[in-house]
Amino acid sequence: MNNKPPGYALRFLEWYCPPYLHESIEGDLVEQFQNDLLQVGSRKARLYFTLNVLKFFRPSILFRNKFSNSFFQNTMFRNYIKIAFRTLWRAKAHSLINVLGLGLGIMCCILISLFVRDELTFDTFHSKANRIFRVYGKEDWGEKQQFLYTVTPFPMGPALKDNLPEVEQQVRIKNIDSHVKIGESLFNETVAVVGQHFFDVFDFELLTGVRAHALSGQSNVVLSKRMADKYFGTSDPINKIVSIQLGEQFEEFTVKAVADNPPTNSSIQFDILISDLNLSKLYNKELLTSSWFNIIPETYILLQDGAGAPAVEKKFPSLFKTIIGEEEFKKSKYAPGLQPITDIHLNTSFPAGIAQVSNPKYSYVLMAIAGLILFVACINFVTLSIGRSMQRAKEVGIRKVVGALRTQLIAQFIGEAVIVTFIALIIGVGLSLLNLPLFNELAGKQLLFSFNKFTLLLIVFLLMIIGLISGCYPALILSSFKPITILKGSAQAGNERQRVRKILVGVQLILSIFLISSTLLMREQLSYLQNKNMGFDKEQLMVVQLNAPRTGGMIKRVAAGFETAEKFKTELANFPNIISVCAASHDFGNGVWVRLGYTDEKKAYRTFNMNVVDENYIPAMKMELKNGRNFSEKVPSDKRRSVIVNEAFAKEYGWKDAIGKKIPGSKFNDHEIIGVVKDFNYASLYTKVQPLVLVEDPSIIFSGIENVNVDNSPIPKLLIRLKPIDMQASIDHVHKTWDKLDSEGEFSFSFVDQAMANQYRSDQNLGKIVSIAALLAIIIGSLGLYALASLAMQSRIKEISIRKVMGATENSLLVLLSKEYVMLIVVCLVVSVPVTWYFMSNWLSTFEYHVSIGVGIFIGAGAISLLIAGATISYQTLKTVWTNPVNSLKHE
Amino acid sequence: MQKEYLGEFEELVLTMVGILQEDAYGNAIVNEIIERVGRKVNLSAVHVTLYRLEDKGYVKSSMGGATNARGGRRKRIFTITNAGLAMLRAKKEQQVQLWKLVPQLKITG
Repeated sequence: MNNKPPGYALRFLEWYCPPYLHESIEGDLVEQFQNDLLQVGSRKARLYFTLNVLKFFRPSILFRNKFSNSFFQNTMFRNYIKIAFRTLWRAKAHSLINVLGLGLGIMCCILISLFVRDELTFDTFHSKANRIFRVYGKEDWGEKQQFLYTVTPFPMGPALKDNLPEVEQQVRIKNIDSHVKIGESLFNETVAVVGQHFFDVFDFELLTGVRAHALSGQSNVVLSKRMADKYFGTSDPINKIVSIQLGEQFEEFTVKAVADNPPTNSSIQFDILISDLNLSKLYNKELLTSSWFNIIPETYILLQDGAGAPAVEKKFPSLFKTIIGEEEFKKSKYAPGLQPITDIHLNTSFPAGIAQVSNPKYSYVLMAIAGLILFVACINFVTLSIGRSMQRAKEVGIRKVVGALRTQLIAQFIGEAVIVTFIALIIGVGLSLLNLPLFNELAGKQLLFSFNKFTLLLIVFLLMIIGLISGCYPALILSSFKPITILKGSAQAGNERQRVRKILVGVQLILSIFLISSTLLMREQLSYLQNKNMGFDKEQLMVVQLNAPRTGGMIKRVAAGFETAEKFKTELANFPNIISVCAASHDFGNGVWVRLGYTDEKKAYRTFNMNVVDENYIPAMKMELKNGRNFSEKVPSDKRRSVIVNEAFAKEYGWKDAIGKKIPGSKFNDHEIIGVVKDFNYASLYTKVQPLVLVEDPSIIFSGIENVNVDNSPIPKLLIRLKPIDMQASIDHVHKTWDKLDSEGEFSFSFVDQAMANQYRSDQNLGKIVSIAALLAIIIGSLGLYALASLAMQSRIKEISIRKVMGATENSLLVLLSKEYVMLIVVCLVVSVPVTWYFMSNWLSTFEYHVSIGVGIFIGAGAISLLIAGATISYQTLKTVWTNPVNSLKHE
Repeated sequence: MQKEYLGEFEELVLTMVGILQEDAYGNAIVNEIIERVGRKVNLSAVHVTLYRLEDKGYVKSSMGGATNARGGRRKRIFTITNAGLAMLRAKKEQQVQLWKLVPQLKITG
């Protein structure tokens, strides 16, 4: 016999019943239960009890709860806020450290979230983004000879659309560098020749003009807003005439629409759009209709709703077999595929097409940095709160005695953390607004901060997360105090808590040391990149792009360019501040040189780069010949049949002595290798030096190759070595010569060392961001350390005084007080070494040529952190050591 | 006028509170109703009605003594307020008035 009402029913009643009604209701129920017990027996009585409890579970009882959450009882809530502000105000220094630290952390988070969001949302603004694909080409020659191309043959788009029902629309995009004439003014511009359905497939907005007709006519042109403003200012651009040079002539176009500037997170950027009906003026008919091995434009296709890309890709082989013939298809190993448009921006395995590709690693690194800095700031909050817990212990004691529940105290302290976070948030938002331009410059973006759904969500998220992370542990600690020990005055900060605090400070130190050593190492690597011997002299080397007539094939135009170069050379040679002048198809730091591929006599596919140069090139660049000789004016056959290769080339073929040999392909014109030049870095230091051929006449080589990949115009450039005095005069002189010899084109020049430095810009920016992050981490961390030291010293002041009275020297006291901090730093240094090692060797491995991670870095980082930490705590230590013992002991 | 409306069950419970005086709590009222009117009512219904009457100001409550049968839990004792008494009186008078209007002698044919 069970004579008690069922426990679960009692608990259920307690749970839902308003507290002030609970006792009497339960009493009545129990009383009835006792009656039932006598009348119907225990089993039924228990059943009735349960049923009755359920009967009380009704709205008119439940709503008497008024849902007055015990967390937010009105009067107490006001008291909490009042107390929160009082405590903040009382410990101004600590509050300031907390708020500033968190503010800096929040700033990092906001800025980096904007960046990452921009990166991740690239191209997603197109409403049909999930159906738009870029056609790419893949050639697989086996043995690591796989090539991906993001450009396609001209007939690709139309062929796909005509033969595959799944392809709803196709748009080809080809950017050409051209001249634009508005009235009498001439501009150098990039003009995009795009499919007529450009605006049907992509969602770029039109400000004026009709979407359907914007590009339907051959003489229509669409301008971006910035271009319309540049050309026509405030007047209405519609129906104005714009002349664009296509081929040799200028053609007149009528502005039919103005498009809003493409969003910054769009891979496709444009300023001037004309329709692909104009292609016939730029390329011959064969290229446009039947040439399947000249890849020129990018092709985008829009698939039908529901058509999957893999299914469409499966149809490609049979389609191309019929179009280009089985034989050719097999030989070329040509395998096109489809890449989703949203994949373009962050997929680094494809070469950059018309759009820049960015490494997603950059986003991850930034996110990690933001997280770390925020974490360091949160740790500050936690350590300071725990450190100050003794001061608040009495408050907790009193509250508990008066009847506060633990949950209420926890809510109170978390609430205080949220208040601090909120203030920090305001500061953080302010700081990020202030620093956004600087950040944009570092990240190479045009980000905007506006209060939209994303930023508001972010802010709320940060508020919750930081409030919880930084509030939780202190809340648990503070609320766990036993009132009796506190109020008796015997409470002591336990060892346990000291240890937690030390671990937290240690984590901060580890992060700081990690960031400091990363900064040092990145600096070392970046300066190594600047100063490494490239195999040629890049200083005071000026580059002037020559113009070549837009007629004839590429080889003819290159040759014409060299003829122009000869004229310049004779003109410029007399100027005293010019050391030497030479001409070459490619300069340095501006992308990949022409890459050529052929199948050698052993049926192996080989690739090499090529540069067309003159006989001045090697001496003017201060390159060294390993053996053989340079091109010479005295040997007329050099211009026809002589070739110079680099060491990497000779190595690739395993030649000990390359002189007199021939490139082992059957179709090359008659030629002979006359010299081997020592390897020089003509690409960036990210990659190894590839096999290279230098020639005076490119037709020797062109006759024997199967594959050409031209990323940069091979139209010759003048390379002019200046004396390092009065550079401006030299530049002016070159300009004058230019005006004399070539009045048509625009004079533009650059310097090789700057162009080469630009190659590493994204890593330089990364380096800057990491050093800023290190600086912030150090600032926040040392603020925390300072505050912590001050608390630790306060609690030891009596001990120190007694030691002094007993005769301890100041030096021994200093050692005593600093010992544990020094130990802490040493331990953290040791822990941070493998972390740094891992991440930094990862980063360094992206460079073919890099420094090695030395012990010096860590010693440096350790010294810096010791110094900073020492400076931070020394003030507190000295203050403590120098106090007069009388002052701190007289109260006892 | 909403406030002055008194439902049939409310009136019954209010009357019982008046009758029971110092001993008016949930269970007692339930028993009283069974005893006097012969109607079996639900404890929870009585409670809800009591709280509603309290909201309307016709009764007030205070915590009273505990008994062993209740496992030491105190009773919530309800007492009728002047407003409650006035309400009951008004109800009664209203009924009497209405009653008077009903022809008392009915000749059945």
